[in-house]
Amino acid sequence: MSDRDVSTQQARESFEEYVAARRTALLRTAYLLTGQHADAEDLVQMALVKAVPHWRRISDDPEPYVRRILAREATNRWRRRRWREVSSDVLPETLSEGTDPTDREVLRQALMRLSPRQRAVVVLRYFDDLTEQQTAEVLGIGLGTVKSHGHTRWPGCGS
Amino acid sequence: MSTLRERLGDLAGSAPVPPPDPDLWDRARRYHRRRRVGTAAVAAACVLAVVALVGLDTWQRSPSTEPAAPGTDPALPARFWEPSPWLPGNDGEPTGPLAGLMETERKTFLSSGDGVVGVSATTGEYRFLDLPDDAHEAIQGHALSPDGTKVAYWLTGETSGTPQTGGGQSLPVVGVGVWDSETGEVIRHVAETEHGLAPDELLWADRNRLVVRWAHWRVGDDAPTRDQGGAYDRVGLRVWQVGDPKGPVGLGVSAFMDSTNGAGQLLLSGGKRPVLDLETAERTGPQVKRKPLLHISALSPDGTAIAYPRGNRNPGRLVVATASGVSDPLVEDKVWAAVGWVDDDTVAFVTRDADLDPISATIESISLSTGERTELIEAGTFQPLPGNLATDLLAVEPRDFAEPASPWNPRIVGGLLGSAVLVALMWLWGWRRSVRP
Repeated sequence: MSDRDVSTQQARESFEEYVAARRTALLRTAYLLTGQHADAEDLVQMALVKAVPHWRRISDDPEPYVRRILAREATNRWRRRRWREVSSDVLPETLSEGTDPTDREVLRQALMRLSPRQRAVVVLRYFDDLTEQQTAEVLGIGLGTVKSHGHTRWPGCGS
Repeated sequence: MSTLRERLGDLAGSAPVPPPDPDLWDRARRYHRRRRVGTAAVAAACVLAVVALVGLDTWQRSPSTEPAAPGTDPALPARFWEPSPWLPGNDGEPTGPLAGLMETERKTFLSSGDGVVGVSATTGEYRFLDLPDDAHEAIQGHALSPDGTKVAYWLTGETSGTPQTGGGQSLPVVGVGVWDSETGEVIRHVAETEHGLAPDELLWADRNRLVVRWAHWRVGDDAPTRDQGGAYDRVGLRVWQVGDPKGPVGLGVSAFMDSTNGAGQLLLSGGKRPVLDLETAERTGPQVKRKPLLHISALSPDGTAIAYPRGNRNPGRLVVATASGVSDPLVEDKVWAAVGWVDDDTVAFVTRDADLDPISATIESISLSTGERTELIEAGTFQPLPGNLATDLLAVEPRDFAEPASPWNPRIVGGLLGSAVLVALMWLWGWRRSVRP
């Protein structure tokens, strides 16, 4: 077995270990980003597939790279599907009246009314606990854009 | 009240939990391999398309004619073709003897203007002539020597005062240049002029003597418009033994030139003795009657006979004037011009088929002694005039040359190339997005 084969085999094992350990967490983020089970699975698979050619280089700490692909792929997919969605300049101020604000479906629908980039900012900031600077770097957008997308009050929520 | 973080965490709990996917690494590798192969295929197709277009364009631009074998005798082509405005230039390189000159529009990728195409008398190749300091005068701007080895043209350059250019519509003319088609050398005569020369006539008396007429503009572009347009000339026709440092010498003749016989004799525009012999300075020749226009007559090699279409309007019936009088019409067809004499007994003339669009001209010849008529050259839209045909070559049987290069419009080629690359990139972009692991 050549050195290259050994190196590839090691990369594969490292990749599979990472997938086994982190796939569920990635799916949770992806679900918030897409709002659909099938889309979330698709998004995670695509992010992992895109990471494979670079795995030898990132295997020491693959998480930031994979999450960056995940977030950017989510917003790029929106560009292909934008006809299905309605983007909004402002975060929804109120959830549907007469509904339980703790209801998951209500929150999911509220997220889906955001533009993919706004949604990604919210998910990265408030679910993945990234700073504004980290969020800007992951999404490849300006800090000001992150701030304008993220500083919005959600009714029924504490900060 | 729960925080947004808590509610997002709660919602994320609904994320799917698919079964393990042990094949993911292999599928990812296959996916990337497919994308690489697809990208390479599209890039290769794109390169092929570009190479094919560039190759086709180069092929279209390249001369379709074979280089002339050394010692190939020059001849007129059996057919003149409409020159493409996108033809390449000769870059000052010698072309060998020329059969004809065609003044036409010349276009490049970014510009267009006047140009003169030289038709090779040995290969039939068409090239724009890049003549140094060519003023690109539109009328009688270039004159081909009877043997096709020299091209005379008006030189542009600096004037001592403000030039008159019609507000920049033309280049200031300061003299005449002679380009040797066999060596590429240029011999110049630059006249001292304050506001530039008003070019008038430019014809070869024979293979080495050039006959010119110019006047001097009285004022430059900076003068009031009402004063512009006037020119003075105290010399009339001048003859220049090309290369003589004295420059063109006045002949003391104010008449206009009609044509020359290429043997040192000029046919002037009128008078009882319209033939001027440059050697003897004598005026001789038969009187020409009822000739409507200049530049449609041909003087015989010995200067004793003049062929021309007779009548008050052009075209007319071809006649020959000699000392004994004017002949009866030689041909029934209407003739537009006499082009030259093939020999002492044979006249070449132009007829046109006016029913064709564009009008198509034919150069024919007729024997004065036998009346035998021969079709020499299919001239198409080419108009043989004094100074744009190597008349010495009328004596040689015209040759069938290959059709000249007809380059494509480089703007269209560039557009096609850009479109091919764009389509390939768009297709590649779409394909790379559509391919799934």
